[in-house]
Amino acid sequence: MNWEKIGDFLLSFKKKSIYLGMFILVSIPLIMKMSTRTYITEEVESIYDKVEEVYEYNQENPNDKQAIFVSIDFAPSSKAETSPMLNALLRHAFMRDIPVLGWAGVRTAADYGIERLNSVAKEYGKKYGEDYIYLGIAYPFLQAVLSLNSDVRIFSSTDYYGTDTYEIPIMKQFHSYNNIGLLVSISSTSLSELYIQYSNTLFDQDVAAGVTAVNAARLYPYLQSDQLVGMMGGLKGAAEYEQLVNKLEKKVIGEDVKNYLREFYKKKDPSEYEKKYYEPKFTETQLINKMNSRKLARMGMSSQAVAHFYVIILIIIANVGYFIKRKYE
Amino acid sequence: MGTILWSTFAVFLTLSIFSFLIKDNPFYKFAEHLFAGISVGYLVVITFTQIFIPRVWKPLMNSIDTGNILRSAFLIIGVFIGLLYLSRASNKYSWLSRYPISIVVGFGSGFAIAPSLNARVLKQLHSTVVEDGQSLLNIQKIIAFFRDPSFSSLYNATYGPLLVIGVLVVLIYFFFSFKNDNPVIKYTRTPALLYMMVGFGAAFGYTFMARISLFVDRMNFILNRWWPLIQNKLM
Repeated sequence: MNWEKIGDFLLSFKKKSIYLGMFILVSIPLIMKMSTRTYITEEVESIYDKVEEVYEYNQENPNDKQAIFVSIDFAPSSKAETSPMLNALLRHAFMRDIPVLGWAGVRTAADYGIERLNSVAKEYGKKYGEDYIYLGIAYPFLQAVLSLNSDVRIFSSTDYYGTDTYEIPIMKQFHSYNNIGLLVSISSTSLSELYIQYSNTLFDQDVAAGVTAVNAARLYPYLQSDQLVGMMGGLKGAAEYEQLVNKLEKKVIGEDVKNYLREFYKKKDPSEYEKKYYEPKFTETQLINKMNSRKLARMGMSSQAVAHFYVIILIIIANVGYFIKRKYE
Repeated sequence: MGTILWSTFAVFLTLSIFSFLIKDNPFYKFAEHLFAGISVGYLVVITFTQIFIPRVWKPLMNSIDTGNILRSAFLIIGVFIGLLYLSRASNKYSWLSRYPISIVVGFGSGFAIAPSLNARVLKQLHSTVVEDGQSLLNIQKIIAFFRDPSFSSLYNATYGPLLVIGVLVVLIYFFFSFKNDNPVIKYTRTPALLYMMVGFGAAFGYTFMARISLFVDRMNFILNRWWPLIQNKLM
């Protein structure tokens, strides 16, 4: 057997054919709409548990509720990982009737943030200004974070739509850390660390993070020191949270979510909802997209798994080729 | 029709960017320039509509209307100091930009020192040796492993010591990076390198996952959002 030729062959794969292989392998699970079940890690489950804790507190104290503050700190360019996290978290909060306050930590998230909030709020019939609010860009960031300790309305005098924050009903009760049960930074930047540094360290606010995989390794030390309640790291973390929320949704809404959404606004008076925020009805395309968004991260994880195996096999092939070539050269 | 048009344009741009994998070409260049241009334009508009108008213009107009002179003066002085940044365009007056820079840097660093030290050094230092009120070098956990050997008791027994030893050897590696024949320094180099390789490996694995996620998202857009739209239109 000509080992040298075999070694040469193993090292001769062209870059283009490797990319083509990746393209085909990643596409197959997406075409087949395969969504994998994933195991739940402690760091993701603790965010879920904390949200449930806020829900239980609100049930016991209806006159002194707590809200969840969501900081949208990512540009649309990294939405592949962060958007499923944001969707799952918002679905969890709205499903549990927890008030949601949000802002954009980075300027590029300003419009995307409100689009996501309105879109998920529509699934549960939540009303802007009563059940959720979006304060626009938190700029300058440090001053914005500090203002949450006293009264954020002084800093954010208007919301995203330009309405005076003193006139918005939800802001009357929820305007400082006192009524925020959990602050979640969904981030592709280092802003999560700043929330740890200021909100957690200075004001003892419970902080959780949903970060892109690139940033995940950097935040693990904060989990160990309990400075972070929990963390969703990359698409895997998003898939875990998505799985937990889907399970809850089946319990709260039932198995046929699509039909539930289809019928939701038929029983309601459309004049109750302002069209500025969302149209109180679902088209068939929207329903398909809503159902797809419920398994977005898990579908992505199927392709991830295939891509990872592919790369591992390529690494093994290249190493075998390298050692054969070195031995017989 | 608008949705199909814009979605098709998005697919075209995605494929144009991916075409760089074959080689640099005009489609890639077009998509790249368009992205850079739109990003800058978007940031300018968003800064004006979401920062300047609600944070400066509206409060200023309100305070003038209500006769709140102190607040108006406060805002005007703030804007004036901010505008001094623009003096960098002139060689003669660029020194004026040092005022806003000194305020921003002075406040930022002055305010950040204490919480940063607390969050990134003191709390981390504490959690390197203590967890849940117990020492990480807990001999009881090692004894428990020998009494009842199992995977979980092994994890509990080794997790703490491995963390503490890891921190120490890596710190020694960086503090004594020069040639040194001291046995402590000499024999901790390889374990320190191993720890760092594990850390870099985890970071690389995560980075790989992040990059593949971006690719998966674009493929998902093409296959599960754009293609069904086209199918519906054609059928």
